[in-house]
Amino acid sequence: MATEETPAQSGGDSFPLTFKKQLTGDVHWNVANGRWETITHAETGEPNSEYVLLATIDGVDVPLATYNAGGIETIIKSQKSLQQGG
Amino acid sequence: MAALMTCVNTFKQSLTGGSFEALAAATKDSLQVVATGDPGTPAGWIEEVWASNSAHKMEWEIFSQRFGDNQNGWRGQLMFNPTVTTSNKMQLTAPRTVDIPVWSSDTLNVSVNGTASDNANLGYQIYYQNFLGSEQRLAPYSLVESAVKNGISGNSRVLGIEVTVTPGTTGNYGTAVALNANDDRLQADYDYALIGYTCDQPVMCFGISGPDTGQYRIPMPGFWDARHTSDWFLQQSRWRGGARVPIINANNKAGTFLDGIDPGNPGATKLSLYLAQLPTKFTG
Repeated sequence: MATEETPAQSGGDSFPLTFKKQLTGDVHWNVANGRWETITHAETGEPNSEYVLLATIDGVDVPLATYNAGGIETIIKSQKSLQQGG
Repeated sequence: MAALMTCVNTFKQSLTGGSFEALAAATKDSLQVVATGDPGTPAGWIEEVWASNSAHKMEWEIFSQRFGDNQNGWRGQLMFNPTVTTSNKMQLTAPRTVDIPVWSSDTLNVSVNGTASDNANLGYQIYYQNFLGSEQRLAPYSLVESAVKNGISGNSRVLGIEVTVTPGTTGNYGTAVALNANDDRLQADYDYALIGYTCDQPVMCFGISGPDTGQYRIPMPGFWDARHTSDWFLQQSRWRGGARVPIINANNKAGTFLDGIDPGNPGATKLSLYLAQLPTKFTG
């Protein structure tokens, strides 16, 4: 008896994914100083970072999505706390 | 006596989870409604509510004996969309035009029921109609619309002033930054109407305070959809038929500060304030 192939069985290409942290490179124009300046966190002094989800397709890294680093690291911190019993 | 529009933001880091738990008022905010000396009429109204969670959906409630009931009062839901690649999932959770009265000296309670170890924030905008001891410069929609459309010879301009604001790392307000910190372009002596704002990433709430706001923080929820924020104050005024557009005098730029609050430590955020220069001095 012939069975219809489902999409999951139909094969196709698959691609490796990577999740990488990088600087956003965010800058703002300072009118008084007349130049572009890197924006930094007011408390830590660090420049903004993000996590980027990349798929490598035909040797090319294709960015699929970016996530604010502060948000991801807040979740990491709370999950770590939860897994270590609070 | 004068009108005053301000906010109360609340927060808790690392929820216990599984049942309602109280949030605490953030710096300079208080859950107690101000005393107006008139217990017979509403002290003001809660006009907007916003909420945010660092990682999951949650339920929220605002209650007191004179606000809803003393069990759960106004109880709402905060959805969380994990596919939105942003730092937090803030939502505007109140009806646009239904304003709920609060009463002199009443103390409100804010609680959330969320997931263990998450960070939660909730805030609301209160408009007091007869505020004692402080005053804000608030204009109606019609005045600002007319000023923007008509202009005057060479002097009426709508500007976007960029201020980079960093919400606090622990769910409270972050470091305040002056309106003219890096984009100092307001023309001296002129009044400017703050019609709205846009930001480069969602932040639960920004605040602006200074001499023209009676030193009380006026809230600016950092919703992801700029069509909601770019004319935020115009719509606040239009929906209610009252004065809700802050007027800032250029001479107060260095004493007018912005700050931000968010449960997810989103980092330095570029905020553009849309300011319409008024052709004549606003007299209230």
